[in-house]
Amino acid sequence: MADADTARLCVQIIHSHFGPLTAKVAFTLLSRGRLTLAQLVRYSSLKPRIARACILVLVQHNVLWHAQTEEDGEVFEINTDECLTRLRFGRYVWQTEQLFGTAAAEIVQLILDHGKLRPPDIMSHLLVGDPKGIALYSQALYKLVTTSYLKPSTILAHVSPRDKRIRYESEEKAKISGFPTAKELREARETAAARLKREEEEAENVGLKKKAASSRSGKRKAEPEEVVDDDVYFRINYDKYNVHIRNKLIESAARERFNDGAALVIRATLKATESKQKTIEDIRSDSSTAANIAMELSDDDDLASGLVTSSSKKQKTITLVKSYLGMLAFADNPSPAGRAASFVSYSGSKVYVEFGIIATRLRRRVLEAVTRERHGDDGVRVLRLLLDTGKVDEKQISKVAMIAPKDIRPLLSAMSAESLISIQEVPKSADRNPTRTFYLWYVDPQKASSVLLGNLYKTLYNIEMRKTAEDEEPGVKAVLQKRERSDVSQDEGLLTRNEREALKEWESKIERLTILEARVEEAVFILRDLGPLGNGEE
Amino acid sequence: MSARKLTSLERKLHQAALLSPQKTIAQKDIDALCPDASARVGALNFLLGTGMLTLLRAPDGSTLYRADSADEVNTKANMSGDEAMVFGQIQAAGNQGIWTKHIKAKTQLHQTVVDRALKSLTQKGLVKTVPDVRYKTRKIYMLAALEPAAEMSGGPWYTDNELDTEVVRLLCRACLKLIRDKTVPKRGLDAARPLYSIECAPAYPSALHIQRALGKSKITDMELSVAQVEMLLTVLVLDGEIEKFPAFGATLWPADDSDTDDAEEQHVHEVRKRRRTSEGDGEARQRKRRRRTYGSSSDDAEDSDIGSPNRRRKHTRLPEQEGEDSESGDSSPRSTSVEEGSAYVYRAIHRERLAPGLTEAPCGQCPRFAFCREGGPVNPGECAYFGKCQFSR
Repeated sequence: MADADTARLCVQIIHSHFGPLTAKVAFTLLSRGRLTLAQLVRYSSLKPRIARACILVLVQHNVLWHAQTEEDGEVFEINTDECLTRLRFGRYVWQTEQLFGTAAAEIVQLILDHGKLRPPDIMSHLLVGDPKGIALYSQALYKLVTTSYLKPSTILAHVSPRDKRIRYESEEKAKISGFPTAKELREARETAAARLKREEEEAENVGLKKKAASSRSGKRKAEPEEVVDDDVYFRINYDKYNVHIRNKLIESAARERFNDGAALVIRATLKATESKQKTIEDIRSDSSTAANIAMELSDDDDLASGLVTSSSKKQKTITLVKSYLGMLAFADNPSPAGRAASFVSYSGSKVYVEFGIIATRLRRRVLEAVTRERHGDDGVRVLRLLLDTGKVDEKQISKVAMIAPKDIRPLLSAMSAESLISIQEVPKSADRNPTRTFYLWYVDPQKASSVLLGNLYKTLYNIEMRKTAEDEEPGVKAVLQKRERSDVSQDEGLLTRNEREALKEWESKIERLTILEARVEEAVFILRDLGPLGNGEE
Repeated sequence: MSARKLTSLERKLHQAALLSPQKTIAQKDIDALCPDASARVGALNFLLGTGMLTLLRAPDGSTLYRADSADEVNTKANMSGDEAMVFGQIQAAGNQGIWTKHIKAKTQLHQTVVDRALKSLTQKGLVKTVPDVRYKTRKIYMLAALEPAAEMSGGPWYTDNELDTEVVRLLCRACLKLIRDKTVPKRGLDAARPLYSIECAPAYPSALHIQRALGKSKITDMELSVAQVEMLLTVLVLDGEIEKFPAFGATLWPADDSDTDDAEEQHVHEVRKRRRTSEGDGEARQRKRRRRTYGSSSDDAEDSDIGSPNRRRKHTRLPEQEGEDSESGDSSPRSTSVEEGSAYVYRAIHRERLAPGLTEAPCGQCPRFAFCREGGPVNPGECAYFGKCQFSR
């Protein structure tokens, strides 16, 4: 069950995407946990027919899981992750257009609108006005499926994985003899998660493609040997799209830290192995070489201007790329700090992008930005000190960070009130007397990021609420309603000047809020989706 | 005071003891100065009796005498026994001072007795209280003639026993400017923000260089030690303005291969490009092997000659000058002398503050964030700040 902030955000998202009735169902499920249909009808005080329709909608859009329990029979549960991912849908469509063109973007948009669709349904929807485009669309669809931007929707994806995970975990734990150690428990959890994932992947493999060699063998070989299976429902593979979001973040981080040239090089490096990046859970990329990277760069990419080199003559691209890679790998800084700051590892001729390290660093930066916002530069100084050195006593912090003790004390307590930093007590004597206790400050990244994530969800909810409030404003509402009229929607000239101005203002407000939402969402991405990465190092 | 003046023998012994650096004199030296046993014993007895000599035991078990000057004897003679004990403790603490609690513990006198003794000593102008920046609540005593130690006054960072953040900030900014001037290319301010590549990096400054440059620059009349400059640099590192890395770091990076044909055109046929780059890989592999040995040797000698590559690099010309062959430097002999504060060098970096959304939403700074909820007195729908938010990008 989700916490209050997450639940409210989910309800708000469902409300704005599907309307008030489904929102009511979602609210009931989120506030009471998993429920059977009868309980749901009772608690939501909806008519059974309506509740059932709402459930159908939510299941169609992958927002609802179901599970079989022994006591209650079939129960429903909200998939919060899926629900929160809905905020990124616009970005996914845009990304598709960038990669594969408008046809593919239309397909993705259609699938997102319907949750999941079979290829014939997609075609029938898209070909309404234009029956000739079938080749274009089927080609785009084929491309999307083979590059795994679309994946088949399986039964497993609709069943809550929690029961299974608990069962697998207890199976693994039963194998441990004697008292389980923390390490053994963790391993059991990991094995169970891996098993679950394997099952999921197997299920997805089954429906992915279908060899159609026999029916097509008569044709020329130019035709692809496998075709998209018409009987399979397809949905969007979020993981694959998230790879793009992550790569974009890495690129801009490199631009920030170094310059545009470095950003170009890291983009090319990421592009060189992009086809193999299926999920954002990889700790590092596949290997590539400087030559591969140089090939990914286009000719008008200006690398030379970002680098001061010893010779004045024009340097070859590959030489420049190598210089940049050296910089990105922090090759001249063989200290732990340099390692923690590196983007790639460049040993010999192999280049790996270190996703784990970069994710840690991005998370750190989010933490720093929030600290800077709320506690100023001194707060960031303290935070960085604690992140670098571990547990430190107040006096030592004041000495190293060169902040007066009278300033540091309120700062530390304010920061710990927001869970940015935590305190560790080390009693000198067995009686735990506070006067004979060391108090050491440290950063608990897990705790800090979970509290932060809660705040971000609340911020997102606030933005959503604000959007609704802007719509509801009396003046704007009337204009919006008027625009919906069939005669006005065909001819905007029927609106008065005042109305058009009001509309314009409203649009700019909504646009701003949408941009804001996308940026907050970016921070959420770093903390939540990149969160599990590189945690072992902290 | 004694009833009579010193005899010549007594004066001679006292002077001899005062002249030695420790103000002590050994028994055998006295034996040498005065062979006559009965006169010697008489003189020593008189001096010990007046307090001008004190009997000590040397670590090796022999007897030592410590001389006190006539003034000290005078002052001590006027004190009561308690005062003398307290005074002795304060004197022994030197310029570090001593806390009243410690005086009490060491003399094993009652609190009121110690207080009375301290009061009378202060009135006589023999001792004074000094503040300590480390322990603000402690009352610390010290001889009136002494200046408190640097640790007590907090060094250059403290004025009136408060950390002078303004001075710290000023000096930090000065350090940052010095480092920026040396490590960011002149054109670094334009849009492309160029950087030095590793193989033709400038001589990165170490703490020692910065200390010297600060001394020359007349920004401050304070004499800063290398350790104090390092404190400032640590603050800058924590602020994310500069980066600290080992001075030998750049030697781990293979120098660039300059032997491939420059006349070859950039846009060649794909096949040719492949061939050429595979050559490049071979070279890279070779260089890697070379690099390994270099790295391991410098790891072994990490502490002894860390400073040397830095000094070598100082002599290489800056990249603005032409025709630099960066490999030539590697063969130059390493000097062995080490200077303090040159094991690590510093360079300015671009500060990373990619603003994530939270900081742009008004919620990030809102003091009522926890209180804010839909339907409450503070709610997102009516929030005044949401309308005003502007974006930097």
